[in-house]
Amino acid sequence: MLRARVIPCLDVRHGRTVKGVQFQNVVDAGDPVSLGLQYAEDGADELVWLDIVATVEDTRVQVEQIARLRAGLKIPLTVGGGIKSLNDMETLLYHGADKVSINSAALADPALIEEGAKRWGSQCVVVAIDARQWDGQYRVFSHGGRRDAERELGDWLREAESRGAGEFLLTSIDHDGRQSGYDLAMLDYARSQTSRPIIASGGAGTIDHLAACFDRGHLTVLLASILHRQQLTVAQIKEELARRGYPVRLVKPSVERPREAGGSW
Amino acid sequence: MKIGLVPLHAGNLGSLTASLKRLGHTVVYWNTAADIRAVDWVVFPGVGAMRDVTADLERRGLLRPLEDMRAEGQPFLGICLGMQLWFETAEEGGQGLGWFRGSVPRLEAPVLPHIGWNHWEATPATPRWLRAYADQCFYFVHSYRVAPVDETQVVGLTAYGGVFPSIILDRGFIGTQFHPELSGEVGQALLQDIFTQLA
Repeated sequence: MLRARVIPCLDVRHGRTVKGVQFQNVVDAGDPVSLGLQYAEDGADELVWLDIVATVEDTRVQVEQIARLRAGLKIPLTVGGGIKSLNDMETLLYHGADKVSINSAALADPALIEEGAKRWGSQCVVVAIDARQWDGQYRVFSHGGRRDAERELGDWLREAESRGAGEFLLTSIDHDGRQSGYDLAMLDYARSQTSRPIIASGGAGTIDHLAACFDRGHLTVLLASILHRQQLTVAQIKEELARRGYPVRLVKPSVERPREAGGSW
Repeated sequence: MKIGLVPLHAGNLGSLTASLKRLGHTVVYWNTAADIRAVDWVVFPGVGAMRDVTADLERRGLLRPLEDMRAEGQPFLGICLGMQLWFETAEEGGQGLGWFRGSVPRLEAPVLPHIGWNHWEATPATPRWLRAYADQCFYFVHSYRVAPVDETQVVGLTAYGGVFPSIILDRGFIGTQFHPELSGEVGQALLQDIFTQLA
């Protein structure tokens, strides 16, 4: 049985982890390399590293840090932020990313998805999408949620999938950083538009929020504020999810609950 | 141990290389025939599309030497695409090496690729040392599966959509559909056990 995935997000700015509320008012949350390794030790299923200013300020992500993280990291790593070309993708993959996440550049040049997928396989290409309710539809925004991409979410999901996106990282701009729960309606809608895995992002504040997401069949969640503010650790979150009967991978196999234990989730 | 890593297409050897180095092994990339030397293990890493891979190995002068090593009993580890490549034909198009009889069909599931942590179950053919890892979670990312003609080669099974072989073993060859190098501590331990148990 495929386990639910719990993925901490490292929002990185100038080499430091930060967390903002609705993409604004960022606060320092530590060194991303040591934080990433700590999350992995606690039982994170993957890591996502997003350089949140790379696109806006046109800088490149910190490849040396990525390499340092990879040297110690034993789980998958997705890196995004400021990726504009196949060259950028190759640099990140070479330094230890397993997947690259592209957002604004994919919107500006959708062929980039195809080229990346053709070169490294679809599973290497994560298309990150920031969307919000706008004008009675789910609308896509680029450049860290600042610019209207003039695309409807379903249209973009279908196009990106057909071009070879292997996975989506879907962030609700309305819910991001508020810790009031994931945007389940938007996730349901996105699920109906694509057959690729979707990572739910934006809004996790409690374990109930994660449970609500899993109950609707969305098995992959991204976590940021809930961890950065040290309200809960990855281990605490996963142990509690397991206790409630959700199929999660625990790092100590001896405490993993019996498989296929039924349940209606 | 000395390990010859055969890059398939460009890039993305970082995680596997890091994993092998953490385990204390020496890694040599075999880009062309000139890179080939005596090693304890040859590893086919697992990312990319099967299309053109065989032709690419031939162009790089690797195909013939690899065939010879295979005949001489050189141990091989294949991961994901690196294992799929050993079979005959791929549904996505392209010719495999044909070292194993069987095809590489697409998985059938509502959501693809199959991405994430899943466990595998032993078969009657699973050796005892490998059974220690049965029922534990490993990291998968793939849309295709192997379908060996000889079922005794299947030593691990995983369910996603349908049930598919997640570990194959035949003499000096072991292939995993999952990525041990991305599967945390248990993945590291399995990699090391593969190298020592099957050498």
